[in-house]
Amino acid sequence: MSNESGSREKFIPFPLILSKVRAVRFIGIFTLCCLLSACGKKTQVEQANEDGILIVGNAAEPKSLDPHIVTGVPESKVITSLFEGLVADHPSKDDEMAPGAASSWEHNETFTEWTFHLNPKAQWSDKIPVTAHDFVFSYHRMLHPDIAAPYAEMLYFIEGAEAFNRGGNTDFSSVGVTAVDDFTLFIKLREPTPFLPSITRHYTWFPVPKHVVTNPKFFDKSPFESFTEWSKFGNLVGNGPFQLKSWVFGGHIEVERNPYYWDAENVGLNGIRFLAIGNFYTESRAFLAGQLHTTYRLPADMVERIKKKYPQYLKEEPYVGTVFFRLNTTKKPLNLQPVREAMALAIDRDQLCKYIYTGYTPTTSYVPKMGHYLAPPSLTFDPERAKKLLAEAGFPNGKGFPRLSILISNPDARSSAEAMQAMWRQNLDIIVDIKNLDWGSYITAQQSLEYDIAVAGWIGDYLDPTTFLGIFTKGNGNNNTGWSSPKYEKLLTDAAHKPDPTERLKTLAQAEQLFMSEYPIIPVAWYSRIYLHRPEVKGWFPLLLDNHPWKTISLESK
Amino acid sequence: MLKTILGRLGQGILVLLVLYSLTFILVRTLPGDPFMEEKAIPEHVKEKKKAAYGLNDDLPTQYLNNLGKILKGDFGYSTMMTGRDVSEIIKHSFPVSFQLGIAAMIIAMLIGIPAGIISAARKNTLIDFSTMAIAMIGICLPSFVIGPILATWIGQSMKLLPAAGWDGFFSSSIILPAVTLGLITGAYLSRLTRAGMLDILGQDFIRTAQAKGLKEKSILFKHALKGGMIPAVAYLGPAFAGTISGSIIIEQIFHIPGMGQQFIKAINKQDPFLIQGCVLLYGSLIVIANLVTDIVQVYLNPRLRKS
Amino acid sequence: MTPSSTDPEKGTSLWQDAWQRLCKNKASIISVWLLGFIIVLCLIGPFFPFVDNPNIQDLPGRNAAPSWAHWFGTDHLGRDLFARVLYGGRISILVALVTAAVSLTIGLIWGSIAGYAKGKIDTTMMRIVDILYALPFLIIVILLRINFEPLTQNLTEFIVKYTGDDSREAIEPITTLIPLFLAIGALSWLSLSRIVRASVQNIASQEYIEAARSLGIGNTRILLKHILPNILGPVIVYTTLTIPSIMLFEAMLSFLGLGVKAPNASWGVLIQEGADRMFSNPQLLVFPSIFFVITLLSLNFLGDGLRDALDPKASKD
Repeated sequence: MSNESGSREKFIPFPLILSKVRAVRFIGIFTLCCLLSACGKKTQVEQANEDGILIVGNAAEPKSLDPHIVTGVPESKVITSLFEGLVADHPSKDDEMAPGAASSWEHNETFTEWTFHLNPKAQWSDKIPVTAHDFVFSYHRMLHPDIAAPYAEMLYFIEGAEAFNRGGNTDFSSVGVTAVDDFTLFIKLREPTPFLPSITRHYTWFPVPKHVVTNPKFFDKSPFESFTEWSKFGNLVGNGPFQLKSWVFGGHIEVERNPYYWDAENVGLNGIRFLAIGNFYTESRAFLAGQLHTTYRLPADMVERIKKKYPQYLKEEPYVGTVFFRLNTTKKPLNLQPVREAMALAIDRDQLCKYIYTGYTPTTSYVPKMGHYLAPPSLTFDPERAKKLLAEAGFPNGKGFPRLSILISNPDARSSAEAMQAMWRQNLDIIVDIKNLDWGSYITAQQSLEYDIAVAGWIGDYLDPTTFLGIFTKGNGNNNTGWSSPKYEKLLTDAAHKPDPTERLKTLAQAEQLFMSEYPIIPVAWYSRIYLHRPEVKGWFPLLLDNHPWKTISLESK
Repeated sequence: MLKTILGRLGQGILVLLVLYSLTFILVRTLPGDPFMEEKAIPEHVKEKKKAAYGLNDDLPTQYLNNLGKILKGDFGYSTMMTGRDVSEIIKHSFPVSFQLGIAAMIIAMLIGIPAGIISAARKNTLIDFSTMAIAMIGICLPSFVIGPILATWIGQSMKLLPAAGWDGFFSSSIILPAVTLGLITGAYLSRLTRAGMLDILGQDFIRTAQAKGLKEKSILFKHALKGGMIPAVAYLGPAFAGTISGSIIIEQIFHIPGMGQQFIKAINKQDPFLIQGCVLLYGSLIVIANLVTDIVQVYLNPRLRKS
Repeated sequence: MTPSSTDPEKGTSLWQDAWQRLCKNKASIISVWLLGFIIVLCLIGPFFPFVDNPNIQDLPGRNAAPSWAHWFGTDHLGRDLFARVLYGGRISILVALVTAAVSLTIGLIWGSIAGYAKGKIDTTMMRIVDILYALPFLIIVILLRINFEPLTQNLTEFIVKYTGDDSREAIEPITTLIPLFLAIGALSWLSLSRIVRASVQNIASQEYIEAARSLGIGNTRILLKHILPNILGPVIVYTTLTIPSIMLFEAMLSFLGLGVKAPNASWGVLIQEGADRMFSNPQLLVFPSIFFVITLLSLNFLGDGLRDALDPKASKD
């Protein structure tokens, strides 16, 4: 802003439209108006409390609301409000069942044959009754190879399901699910499964309305193609406590009461709004601004401040998942069990959970506690023994130990990897690097066994140890350790054939102990869900699967 | 004039073709594939999906097929949003981004241009310095700083305006995001307007008008404005482009369901058709914005008409 | 500084005039000092013992307020914020300078060839610029950035093979920046090439160039010895004024997770981390922002001052 060479004069100071004084006055009045209008204005949650609408932070825009083609948690949250399975979730007890579309069920002695009696009063949101034929149709559709359902495996419990899904067998009548009559569903399983009712609570077992999905209006091809017009807004019909009210793409999905739901009079809410806020800092800001009742996740570094300032909003609840470090057992020297064990023993899990995985529980084994199941502890922090094992394996004081790298993709995982780096250096004198890949390469590297150590985790789909133990069989797409053990798989198969639940769990615990003694992975922490939650939400209890049945929630408005 | 417009349009189409090719190459060479999930999908399932989207064909075939489909208005299906076609996703998300962009541009022009004019008219006074200082800050602070500050202060602490969410163009939820975006563009506009105005005001014909005794208002608005706006108008094209890029970030901060969010998600999930659709749409917008700006500039500045 | 007019025998060059004008511009002088201070602090500072390692975590001591031990306090992982700001400055400045250099090189070569050659070559070259200019910048940069990612991983591994594993910590921050340089540089040379072309055309039309050509001096020599030195003025101004936008760009990319990778941080990354954690730890936002804004402001004022100094007729003030 240099000076001009003098000749230009300033303008005669003539009051402009926006002179200084007027401007100040204008700004002052404007601000006053804003403040006045804000005073006494209800926040969004206060208004929602009065209206009986629960506002939920739901992390991501659902890819679809068709239960057969989705895999994510945000999708399941909305789907469980629109649809209902044979069995419903219990609001407060993890391992108790509540009647859903089925009012009662029984099984044979060996838990291989189940009969579900459907509630004849159950209706779809277009008043058509829900029948056993809907269920048969749904499982047929879900397993049909053409639809390429990513979660088809969840139905493999049914006899013949896997063969049908892989395309080997094209006759669905070979699959063990039949409609005995309109309201009786008979399911034959491939092995004894005492926890079948628990599994039917998962959305992959939900029914879809046959009369809507097969409506020629939505397809000109077979309804088994991947593209699912019937589940879009305006078309979707469900049998759950709520129905679709509006869908602002990328913004929010709103559901309202379904008047034809069989238990409509016991539904506590008038509606739910799911906000697909992906950035968890934005979500927390929105919560504290009074725009949400409950959030999806509270960023770890905000926990302390929230504890101090708003402890009444903080929730820390155990969740069914394990954080672990995956080891590539085909890579030297990770192929030696003593080396793996040494690395596992050199980790101080308590420290990790205190500072990095705040709110999580240090693991004593792999599978988290669920119901009556918890394997005997097999993980400890024992740096002395770790050193000894490493020396015995041929690397005394870390000498000669190659420089391995820890694979991460998520920047959040970095602190964890760095902590491991430090612990291994301190306790075993070995040096590891950190390799940060983009998510795609991170996944591919593990699947093709081109990594050393990877930060990973696994969330269970249902409350049975097999959802955790089953992935480490040979060739399983989620194994990616190069480890397998015929003994381990035999134990799993044995357990599968034991009809007595207690015996079965005992055998599974044996399998887990075998698994842990081999250390193909190093579990570190059991997940907790840490989120913000308003106290006026009633009927919300801590659940391992975080599967709060929407129909039992209500809002207390002052 | 018509010749210029047609020439520019032709160039615009060429730009879009280049854009399409560039995007095609860049997306197909990304590591990984669009169907990666943390929980591995069985191989036979993945193969089926790839075939359904035509991703198993060789590259030149895909290139031509895609191009052909686009010319017919078919932008393909999204891989990350199963069952939705790209046009549908864009149809729902683009209007929101567009509304946000327009609101931001309006705020930018409403604040920036008068500020520039006033600064020019009161050159080297306190008003001039303070306005330009604020403008400088606006230019130097990124939107992802201003945004969260406003959201935390006005939304979270004072609870005056929503800190996140979108309820439509005429709701209170548009204010904070549009102001964040608009302030930055407005800062640039104010500097340019000031510069342009000063340029004109220094010319002889203005002094003549002053000497003739014309009122300040009349001089400013009737004589100087048209010429003085040239640099600002010239910037409107790039400003609009900048607003588009900026909205990608704003949408994340304020959870606005616009196309920017979809674009970022598409990039993360390597959804080839959605990326393509978004990029082409952004490209077309910029081509159109530049075309309009060029036309307005020619109107404002007769000297440009020769070209 | 004595006015040159009192000494009738000593003529002044364009540069001396410009220098004098620049020195009179208070804002520019202050900017130069501030910039100098920040640059020296960031480049030399980390060598001093009292500056901690910016990557060492001290989880029990996280989110600490400023103290004697930690001048700016600690961040959410217990890292010393002062050190992070300094190291972050190194990266931001490095990114800005290298990208500007890439941009400058390409833009100079492209623009001068186009402006000097005239005719068909000129039209084609500038047509290409027009087309590339119309591409949505941020979007192409994002795509390029992701594409170059595996390249740098391979490059890091390649270099580490020869220099040993210990060097990885030092090499990695630099190689991970290469996609940034390439991606931003790939498109930022466009405006510069236009300016260069215009300037070159301006100079090239003058008679002494005509004279040089008729003397038989080769075109390359003319370009290098006669034309380029004379267009440096606008080029310098323009480059100085684009560095802020490059830094802003890098900051935007960092916000989207495409900038510098953890644990290294540029100011952009620090600011983004701070903006998110405003509620729990405001100093994370305040300190890096101050540095960032001061740098950008100084660059802007300096650029303005340079422009005024080098071409008083073009001064809009």
